[in-house]
Amino acid sequence: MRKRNFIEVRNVTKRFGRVRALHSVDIEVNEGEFFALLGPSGCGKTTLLRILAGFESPTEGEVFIDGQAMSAVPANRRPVNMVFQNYAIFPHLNVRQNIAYGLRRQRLPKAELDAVIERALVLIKLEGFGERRSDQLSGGQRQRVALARALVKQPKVLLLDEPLGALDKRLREQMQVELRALQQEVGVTFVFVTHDQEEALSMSDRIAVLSEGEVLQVDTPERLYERPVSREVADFIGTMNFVEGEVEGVDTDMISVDAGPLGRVSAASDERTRPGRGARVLIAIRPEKIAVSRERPDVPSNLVRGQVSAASYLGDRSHLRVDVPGLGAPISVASQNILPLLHSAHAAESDAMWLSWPASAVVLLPPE
Amino acid sequence: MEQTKRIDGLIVYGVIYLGFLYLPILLIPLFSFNDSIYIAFPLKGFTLQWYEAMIAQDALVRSLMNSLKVASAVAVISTIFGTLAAKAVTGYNLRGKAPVVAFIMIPFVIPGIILGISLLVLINRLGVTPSLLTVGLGHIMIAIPFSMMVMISRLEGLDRDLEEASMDLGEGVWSTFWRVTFPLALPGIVASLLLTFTLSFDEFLIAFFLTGKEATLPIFIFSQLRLSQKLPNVLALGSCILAASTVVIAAAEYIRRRNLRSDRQSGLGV
Amino acid sequence: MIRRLLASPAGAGGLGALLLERVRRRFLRSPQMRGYALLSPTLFVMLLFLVVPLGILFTLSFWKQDGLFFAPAFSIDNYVAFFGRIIYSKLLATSIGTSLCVATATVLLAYPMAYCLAFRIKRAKIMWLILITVPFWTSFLLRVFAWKITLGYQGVINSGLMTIGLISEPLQFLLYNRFSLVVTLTHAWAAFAILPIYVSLEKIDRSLLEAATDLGDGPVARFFGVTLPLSMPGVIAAFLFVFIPTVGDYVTPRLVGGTGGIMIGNIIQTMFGRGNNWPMGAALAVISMTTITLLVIVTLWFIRKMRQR
Repeated sequence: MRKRNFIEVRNVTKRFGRVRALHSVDIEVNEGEFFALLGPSGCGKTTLLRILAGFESPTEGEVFIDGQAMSAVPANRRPVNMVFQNYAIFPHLNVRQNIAYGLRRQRLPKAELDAVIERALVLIKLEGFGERRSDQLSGGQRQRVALARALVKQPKVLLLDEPLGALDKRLREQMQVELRALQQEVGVTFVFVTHDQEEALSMSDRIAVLSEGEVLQVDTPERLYERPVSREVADFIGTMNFVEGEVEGVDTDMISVDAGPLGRVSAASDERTRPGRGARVLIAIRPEKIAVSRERPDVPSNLVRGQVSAASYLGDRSHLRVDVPGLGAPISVASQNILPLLHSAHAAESDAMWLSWPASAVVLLPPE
Repeated sequence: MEQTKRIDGLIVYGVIYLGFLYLPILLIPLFSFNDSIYIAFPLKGFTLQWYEAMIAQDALVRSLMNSLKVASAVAVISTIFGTLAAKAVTGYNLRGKAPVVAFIMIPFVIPGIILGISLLVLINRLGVTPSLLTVGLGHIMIAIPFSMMVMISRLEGLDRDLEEASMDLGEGVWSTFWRVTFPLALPGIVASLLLTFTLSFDEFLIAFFLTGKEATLPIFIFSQLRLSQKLPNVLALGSCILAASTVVIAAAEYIRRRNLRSDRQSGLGV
Repeated sequence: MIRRLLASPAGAGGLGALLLERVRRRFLRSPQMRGYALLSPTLFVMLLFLVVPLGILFTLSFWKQDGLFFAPAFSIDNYVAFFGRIIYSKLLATSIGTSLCVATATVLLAYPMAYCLAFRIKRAKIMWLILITVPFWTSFLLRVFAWKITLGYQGVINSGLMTIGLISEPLQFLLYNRFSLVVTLTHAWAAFAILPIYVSLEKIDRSLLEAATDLGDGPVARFFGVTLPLSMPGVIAAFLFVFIPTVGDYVTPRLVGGTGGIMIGNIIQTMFGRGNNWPMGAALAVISMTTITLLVIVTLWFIRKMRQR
């Protein structure tokens, strides 16, 4: 049975002198979860990871791992291990010795130790590389050695600090898949820090979005993308169109909003957002949820006509910017190129087109 | 990493170590003002007589002038050579760079006496009489590695792009040198001048073999050490030299280490 | 400019200039050539004042002193004399022994200082570095002299202790023996040991230390598992930087070593001075240098073997 709240970060604040790196952060991570800390550089995510590892201590608050308070436990006695950003492979030791490093104090019999290392080498697909030194390894190999070195310690939690940041794009994509597969194989709780939203979305079970030392939202990748709770989160993950509006009517399953130049916008209401009549709201719509057509679609609302001001072709999809009269910023549209491009349905610059979107695609956010 | 509020044993050790470095040296100025011919406690009283006696010695003044002459020449020449060599090593991706640098650094790892006698043998074979000139030549040889080391650690930090940017903006080789390379290298050059000057000024081991009728200051001091009634004079002279050297070296080190955060990488940045 | 020269009546001169220009262009075009051109003056100086003299010294060691002149005939008599008289090899051995002592003591004392500098001192680091460097640059002679007056029979320590009444007789063992020699040299070469160790410690990636902690090391285990091995290059450099020059030292033994503290350098110096037997001195120098070099090479080779294990 997987434990809930395996890691609990309770009301953690961290100050460096006058600089506040974290501000009353509360996060709970379940056992066996692949959990991401996502945010721009300087948001405090690395500080939080280092607090979990024990390299920094929180100014206020407490961290629990598997129910045990961590503040009195020094870094070298915590049930966590870390994969460092630059991997920190010991240059004076070979791969085998690196992996064995954390096992020294267990004083295993040599045969057993060798077996553990051999299993680790198989796990990271580096059989036969045991005698190599760190400068004879590629970036991806170093990363895997760092992983193995941490995993042989059988930590309760594995911490990863931008584990893929130092790799080139292709390798990074490959390692994303491998890392995820590895985590499912070993079943250890992973907490990893990244500033790459795509990486976070594709790998994690849940993501905490941090900004300026505060947690903005903790959610699954799907909900984070489809149902962000604030403009900041929506902005950080993917692209979003924002239009201000005022709630006209609230139904059981539908909220209608007067969005000025955009006309009336209907939004599917969910349990979280139930603004009252007359409330100011921010309407948010993802570019790819918007359909483009020359003919007026037969729908009563969620419809507007505009002129294409820019169109860029990206192969599988096209990005359009559509000017709607009365709207300050153009609306971004990402349309899948399902039909061959030369088909007349495709929009070109200065074409007048209809934009429409389903009510379920509309997110209502608190106004700024 | 871990923040400790308690007194750090290592810092205490560091302070004691500095004491070990400085206490014996500080005895020299202390006793130079002591009103006794014996260098022993208890102190007898304050006097300036040793300084007066020092100035009155013609031989001393002459050897001081000799040392100043030699050291100035050595500083300028070895810095020019060291800078050119450092530029060659850092600016161009030379084939065989490592052995060349190792070769130039050889004087670091040869006992001074060997350098001294081998130069003595050389000038003897060439039929040259030992003089201030030969002392200077010997000093140039040992000063070049120092100068080169200082200049490499300075030039290594500089981006080669800066020179290329200047060329790209239409400057020629020479004007690029004068407008970009030289100003950026200047702190290193100043530090090198000061360090090599002091190196030559204080050098004894090699000068001992190469000096002729005209003595340099360390040679003069050495000759005085045998005469116990002259020791207080040496104390006075030593105090002056220590004061001057300290100021010059502290200045050189300050100039060199300021803005030089590449210490970590270069390894030569000592 | 070339064109004008060529157009001038002095066509031949113009041609010469053209040739010169060609060479110059070629020279400027190849960075390798330019680099070596910048290096050449220095290489020339080092060749002339380092390699050539050492070569002559080597040759001289096979000659013989003949009154005031040399007999330039090849003979190995000097070497035979060295190995024939046990006193020389014994002296060389004690010199190397003393230098090993000095180098070991210097490195052991310097390591904590360098460690402190690299890991503990955050503010005013430049000031500490300057404080450590300055004594090293001040006159070697004066530093040795300072110890002479400190350790002397009627020196600072003895007179000081007698003044405060701790002892009634001056301590004999302080000066003119191997102890005073080691103390003085340890002091004199301190900076040479601290700086290389400091640099190698400073270069250690801090995340390696964190990784060791993360993998379960306490401070002591981490020091021996990561910090010390990674700073070994600095330790070895420091050791050699101190060991090599001290073997040949002759000033310190002469000023503070007394008769018990004589080193091989003193004998070499005597051969070139009062002894007036330059070839023998040269042979002693060659033997000393060869021994030191061999010792260093064997040590380095051994260390390398150990590390590859």
